[in-house]
Amino acid sequence: MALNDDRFQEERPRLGCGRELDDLWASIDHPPTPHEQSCPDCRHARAALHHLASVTQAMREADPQDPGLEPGDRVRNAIMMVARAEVRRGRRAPLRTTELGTIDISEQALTALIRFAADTLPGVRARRCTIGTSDEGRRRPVAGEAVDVGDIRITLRVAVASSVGIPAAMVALRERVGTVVQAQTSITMAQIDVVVEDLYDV
Amino acid sequence: MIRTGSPSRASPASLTSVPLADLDESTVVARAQDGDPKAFERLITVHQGGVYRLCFRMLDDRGHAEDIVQETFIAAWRGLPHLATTQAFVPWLYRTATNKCLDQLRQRKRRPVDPTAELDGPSTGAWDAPSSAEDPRTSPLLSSRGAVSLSNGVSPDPAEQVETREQMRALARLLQTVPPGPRACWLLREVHGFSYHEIAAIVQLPESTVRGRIARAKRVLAEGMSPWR
Amino acid sequence: MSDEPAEATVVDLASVTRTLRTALLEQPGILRLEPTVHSTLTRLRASAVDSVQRRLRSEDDGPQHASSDGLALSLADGLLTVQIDIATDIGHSALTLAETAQTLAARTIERSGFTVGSVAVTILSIEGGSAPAERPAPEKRPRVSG
Repeated sequence: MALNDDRFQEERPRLGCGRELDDLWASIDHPPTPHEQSCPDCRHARAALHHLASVTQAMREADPQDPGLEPGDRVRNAIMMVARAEVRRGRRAPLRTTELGTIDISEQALTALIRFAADTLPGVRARRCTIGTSDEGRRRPVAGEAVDVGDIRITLRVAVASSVGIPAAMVALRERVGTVVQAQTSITMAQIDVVVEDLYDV
Repeated sequence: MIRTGSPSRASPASLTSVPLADLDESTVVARAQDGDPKAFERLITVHQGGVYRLCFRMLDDRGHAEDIVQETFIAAWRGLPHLATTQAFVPWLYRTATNKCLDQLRQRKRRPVDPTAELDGPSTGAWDAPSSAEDPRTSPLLSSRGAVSLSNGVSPDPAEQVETREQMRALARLLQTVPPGPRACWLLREVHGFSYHEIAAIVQLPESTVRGRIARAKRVLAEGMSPWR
Repeated sequence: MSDEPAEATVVDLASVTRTLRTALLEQPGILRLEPTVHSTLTRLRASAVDSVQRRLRSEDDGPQHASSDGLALSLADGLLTVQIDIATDIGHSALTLAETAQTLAARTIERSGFTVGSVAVTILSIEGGSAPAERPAPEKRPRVSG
């Protein structure tokens, strides 16, 4: 079976005996059929594919262990530098105005705080958290815009351990989130909606 | 670090959370979607190696592979909030990286391509990484650091290891002769373990086309690895 | 208000920025001064990401403005306006720390001979106890460099 120049046309390659290569590959781990034992095309192809399979497996296993096949640290650093800079584009919630000037918190810091507070409860893993106010409707928040801290409503999505009693956990969760946010920022939240979107096994 | 004697009520020493490394991936992705940089960095830790190896095997150039990893994750950071489901993250990552690799290979095609010249010949232009001037036996296709330990099989027979390493090097070299489309599909299936269905979604082609491409790549590789007739 | 003819500007803004940075970072509970849109993106603009890595030093944008990560100072009509972006430790009330940062900044500025216009503080991150997020993955080997 020689290589043809048209080997990459959109047609599945076949062996000289007419069999599709894909079929042969699919049964490569099974003992050869009577046809495969007698057909020289199939015998050769099986041997070659076996060999390819073992080298491929070696590569699949060796590559992730090879420190030379990891990107350099500069890649992570550059990505994180952009990420950290861009995350700050969220809205701001004003917390207080002193005689020296304003104090505010970024929406991202606030949602991260809420997730952190939720996370401290055993059996609860915080996922997404959105902050809204009652007059907001479905309008997309604009970067740099101020959040009305007198009327903050959050929706927090969580995954809960399958062993946890959900109603009690939700009460504790609202309590914990409210307390932590209040202590850190003085914000009293108007509403805390919790959505259990997943269960996980412990 | 929690300081004791702090004025805050919110800081009992018990306020600790589960380390990110112990969380399920959906939770980590969800937090990254919310703009949590630490969760995002965890995703980099977990996935950058795989994405890099895909790019490297596609492009045979460390610098360009790194560039694409960087672009891919920055695009991921920007695109994460709009991702429909957390499960879509990994395929999305590989789709973005694959597309960028294919784009780059298309650009390269404008120059005369001779795969062997690119590997061990004199520099043929801007695409050549410094390593391409090396001895072909330590070609950039495989890490030239001899520290690769082969975990397949229990026998640490040095001769066998050298043999396997040679074979992997040959496979990597041969892979560069496979056209980019089939090469990407083959890598995604055989090295990265995606299903045909997932690959179809990644390369945005029908599953039957993906199967055909992988079969064609296998044929070229199998023939090249041990030529029959 | 001093009637002295801008004697203070002899102390350049860049050095006030440095002093202020040190003073703030010495405050327990303030973990970092955070790079922001102010301090990063304006300098980054549309340029390549690589260039970001070269600008880690405090930069002097001329006599009227100075900024470094998390700090932006500008001087107009003899008044110094400051924007501070902080990351705080959850072991402290973030709001209390922000107020402390304001006071600290005002004191530092006055000691440098400037008159304080306003000091605005933004809390960009509140961080707390979990195991370090970014250890190298355990299965990974130490990176061989070179």
